Amino acid sequence: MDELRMVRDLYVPPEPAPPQEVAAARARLDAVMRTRRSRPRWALRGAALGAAAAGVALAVAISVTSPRPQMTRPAGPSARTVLLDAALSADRQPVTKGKYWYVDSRIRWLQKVKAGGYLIRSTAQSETWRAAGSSSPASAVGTTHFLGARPATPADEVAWREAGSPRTFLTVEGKRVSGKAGSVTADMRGSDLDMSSFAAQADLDELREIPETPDRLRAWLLALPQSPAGPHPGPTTLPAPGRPSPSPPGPPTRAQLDYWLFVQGVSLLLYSPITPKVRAAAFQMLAELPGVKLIGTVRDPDGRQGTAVAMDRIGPGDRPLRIQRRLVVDTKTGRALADEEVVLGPNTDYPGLPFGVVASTTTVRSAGWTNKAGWTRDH
Amino acid sequence: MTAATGDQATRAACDAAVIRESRDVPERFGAIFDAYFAEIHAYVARRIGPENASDVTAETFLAAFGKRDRYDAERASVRTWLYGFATKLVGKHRRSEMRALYAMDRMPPEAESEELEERLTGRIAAEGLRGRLSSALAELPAGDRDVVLLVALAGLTHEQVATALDIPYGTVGSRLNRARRKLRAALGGTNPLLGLEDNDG
Repeated sequence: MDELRMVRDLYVPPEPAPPQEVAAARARLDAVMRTRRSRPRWALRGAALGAAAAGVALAVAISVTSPRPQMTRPAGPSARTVLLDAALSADRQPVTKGKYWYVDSRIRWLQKVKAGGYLIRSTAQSETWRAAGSSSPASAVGTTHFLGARPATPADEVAWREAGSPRTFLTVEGKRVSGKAGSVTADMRGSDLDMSSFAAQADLDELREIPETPDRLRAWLLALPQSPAGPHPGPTTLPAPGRPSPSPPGPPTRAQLDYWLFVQGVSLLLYSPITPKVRAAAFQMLAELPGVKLIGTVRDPDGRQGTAVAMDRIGPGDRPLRIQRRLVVDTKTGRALADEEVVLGPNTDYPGLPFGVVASTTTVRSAGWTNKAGWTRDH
Repeated sequence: MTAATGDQATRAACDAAVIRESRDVPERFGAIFDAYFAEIHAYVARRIGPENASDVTAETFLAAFGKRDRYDAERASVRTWLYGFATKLVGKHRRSEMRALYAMDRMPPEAESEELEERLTGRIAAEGLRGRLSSALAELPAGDRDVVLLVALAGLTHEQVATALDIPYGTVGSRLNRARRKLRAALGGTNPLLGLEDNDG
């Protein structure tokens, strides 16, 4: 007889805390964290020391524990310093060569389940190869493997069990998601990556032309036909077959250009066969974007520790989309580890997810030149 | 469906590193809040009901933040450590917890799906059983109930319960055995629903 199991089943899965309550709770903590900031730790040690010495020299103890003039803390790391660190490290890496540029990445995303309200995380594995000798896009090949969905956290797992441990999930968007892995699908273009980025679409010839200094890289990216700053002779050039845009877009704002550059830089760093010099330039370019902020030390879903920098996504008219794009880097090696999206508030991309969660991640497990063409085995 | 041990170890090491950093850069502690608020809230909400759950969870993180200098990674993972604070704070809301427990027999959960309904009917929604179990839980000594619920709801091991509550390892086992005996007695000594009985104590 399992009383403990019965006890667990007795409790109805609770609703997640309403977003405003989470925000209020975080604000309370933020307020306390801020007040602690101005108090250097040596003051605490000084106080302890003072107390120990109190019997001997009371006057000394008092002077040690009495309020001191505010110490100016050394400037902490900023997004800029983190990215410049990464640039320096990237620049020190050796140039490598091989027959194929191979990228092994894992994509994970959260969805909310309708019955039970818990979150599930789906995982897919992606591998792409590009042949070095050819610059034709057709020389790229990729495979994608859906690895199944499962409750996102232990708390979700409890709720999942209480919902009867279903094997397939119906999400709040009405999508059916399987808990089981699917079969491997081949994709001749290797185009599973974020197609809004130049890096995912560029062929190797284009990538060879990329400038190696941040200013020239920036100018070069902005001059690309895909760039929002690129030549716009008129709305007719917009590729919108059957879906005419209601109004021709105005010139892009500074914030829109910056966000676009952020996405391109992130994508180049994560997925593209670029040299250590270009890699360093890309980090430097990101370091100079005003909207980039430092998130801090994070652990990516593969368990690797890195530093996250982020930029908030904006929509037309600089409307905030309440989604934050994050790049996780290992500043010691200058490697880009992961690309993440975080839910900041109500938005259409991630319905029902609690605010503050990392809603989707792509972790690049390895990206580099290899002489082994894995795909020849299967295709 | 628990994560691999390696993942948990990595996670624990990273959490411990964040706590360490937060001693000099307090804002780093925000990452602990972000990682664990939902889980701790789910635990607190079950125990004392949803009304005050967010407040008590917020206080859990404030209490942990205040004690971050004394966190010992050798002794407990951050998760276990947080459950300790949450459980202590839940103890200050005894009346809410009792209200939640006594409300259980009056308000069986709404079955949202046939599958769920079947499961509940099959296991525990049988007439009066919910009420007997929740009353028995309510009548347990507070310390025993803490142990039962940290195991049943939070899924902590005996060792983790011991560190979370700062009690000896052996005490966890004895409280749990005593509590299980009482719960079993309240249910009538046998489990009429499973139709079989084991002999573990």
